[in-house]
Amino acid sequence: MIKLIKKDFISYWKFILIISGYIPFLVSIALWAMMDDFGGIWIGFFTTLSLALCIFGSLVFLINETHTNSEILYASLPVERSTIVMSKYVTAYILLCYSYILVILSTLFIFSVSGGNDKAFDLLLSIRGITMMFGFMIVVLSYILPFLLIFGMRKGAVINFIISLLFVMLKPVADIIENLFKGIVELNFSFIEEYFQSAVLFVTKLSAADAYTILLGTLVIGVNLSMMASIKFYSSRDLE
Amino acid sequence: MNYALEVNELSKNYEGFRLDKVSFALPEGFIMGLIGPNGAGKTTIIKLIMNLVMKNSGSIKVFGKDNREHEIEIKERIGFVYDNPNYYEHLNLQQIRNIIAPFYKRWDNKVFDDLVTRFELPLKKNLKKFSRGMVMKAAIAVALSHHADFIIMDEPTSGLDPLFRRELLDLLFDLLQNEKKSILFSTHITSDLERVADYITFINKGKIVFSNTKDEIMENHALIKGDKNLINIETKGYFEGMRINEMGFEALTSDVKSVKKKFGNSVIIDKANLEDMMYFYNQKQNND
Amino acid sequence: MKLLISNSSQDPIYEQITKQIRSQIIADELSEGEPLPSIRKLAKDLQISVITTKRAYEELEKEGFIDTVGGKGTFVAMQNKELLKEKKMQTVEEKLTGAVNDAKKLGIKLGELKSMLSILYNEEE
Repeated sequence: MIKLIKKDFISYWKFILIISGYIPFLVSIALWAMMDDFGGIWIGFFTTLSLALCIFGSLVFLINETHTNSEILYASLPVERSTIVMSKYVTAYILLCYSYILVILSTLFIFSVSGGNDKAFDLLLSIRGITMMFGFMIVVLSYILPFLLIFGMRKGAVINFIISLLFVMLKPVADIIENLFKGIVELNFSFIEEYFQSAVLFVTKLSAADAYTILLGTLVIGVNLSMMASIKFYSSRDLE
Repeated sequence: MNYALEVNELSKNYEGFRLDKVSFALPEGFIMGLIGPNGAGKTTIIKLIMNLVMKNSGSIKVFGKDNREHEIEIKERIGFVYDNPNYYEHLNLQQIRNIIAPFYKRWDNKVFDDLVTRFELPLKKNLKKFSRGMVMKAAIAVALSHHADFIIMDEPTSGLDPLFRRELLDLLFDLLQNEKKSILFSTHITSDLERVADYITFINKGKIVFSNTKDEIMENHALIKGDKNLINIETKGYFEGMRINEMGFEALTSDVKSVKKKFGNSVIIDKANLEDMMYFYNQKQNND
Repeated sequence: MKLLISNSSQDPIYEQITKQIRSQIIADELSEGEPLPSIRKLAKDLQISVITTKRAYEELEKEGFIDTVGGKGTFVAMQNKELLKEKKMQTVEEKLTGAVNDAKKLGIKLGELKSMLSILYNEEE
């Protein structure tokens, strides 16, 4: 297990270097754009991070496994396929934590330069903030990884890209379509917006402890299901 | 007799291709050549042995043990070289060693260093900048550095120059000085095998054509040339595939003795090499 | 021990090996008790299959030319002097038969052949 994770870092070091520059860059752009409107700061973070995650999640696997055939190499070594799957999860979560630390550091940096809102920063470091951020990213990883492992790197990356895009673009797309058809067809997309808003409201209204418990519970189940599905399908998949 | 590999009634279905009830066995201490044209199923067999793809039916035993149930302990003792070892591309050889070595209990850095020196490979250069021959050498060095008892090689000589092919064969002979080591070697360059192989398994269109010791195969097969008038419905049965033109016929037999008895001195009997066999058997299967 | 293998010969490789080793033993180029290379070493040196060398050694063992001592290796067998002489006579006979056949083809009479033989025999002395 540890050797598989180590191998990931040996072969991904260039990529880790890239995200080390890429994430602060995205965060700064999002923050500068929303400096006046801290209500939208969560959406800003979600957008930034999900974009970062989709791109890095897909790229990490795509670059190193499909392109170079290394999947076949590792499956030929004396390791269980389930160990390979679990190591992918661990690697992904290590990278996730790393990304989160990067986000905090770059936010801190931007705020200290611009003298921004301390409250937003407090939220980012609060237990609720961390849970929500992690929760969101864990959800993303919990579908990215099984798709990559079950459908292979190429197909999986396409599926993930589409799903992630839908995820991120849900509200803006609904708005755009609503605007486009305004006055022409009586299409009401506001239910999506309502749904989205009520979800956000539900979470933000909860006490920190409640939010933490609910999210954690759901996520543990989600991650387990995701990992079980990955192991089950990956263990009997033909590697070509 | 102990077997390094026993494949029994192995089947695997793909869209448009079927590996059909393949059976053969390789006794411990010998080299087997797996020959056949491209797309015959050689790589599929190797992937099945390595558990990279799942069989539909049949059984595979390595060192006498089921290859799924005892996957880890079997893979610990296997050294593999694949057709397209481009999995290393973005790394250098030293990094690759650092990645692979911890996976094997019996990894031996000294063996690895010796092979790297013998092959004149640079340790710090990205494999992307290696020639195909060098990449293959690197893959071989990695495969041979954990004292594996069974070496599986998929087309290790394709795209390599004759000098290196000779060098590789020497290396295989060195390995076989230890009578516990076995080698399975797939190739479509049959001249390599004519020298070294103890056993030959010929596969075509997903089916085994023959699997036997090379000596017996060479003794039983021959190229027969003669007047085309000799060919009729009855005599056709003596041949495995033939080519007829105005000058006469040329055919392959798998039973030289009967042909000698039947045709006597009316035909020319020449040695057949593996390439001839591949050609004629393929033709026969096309006609069937 | 010297062995030269021809890939274009009509004889199978194992037969080329047995023939050459046999004649070297008969000609005393290989003496009694002399160790022979292991089958795997021989296969490597000649770049041929292990099965071929194994078969050649098995033939030679059956004919009594060599002995395999488990764990120690293969050696030139103690030769039965009578048998050896008989075998040597056999090879002389074989070669003479060849010469006689050639002579017959060329229409050489027996008398001529005999005198040819005696000249050659004396020359060699």
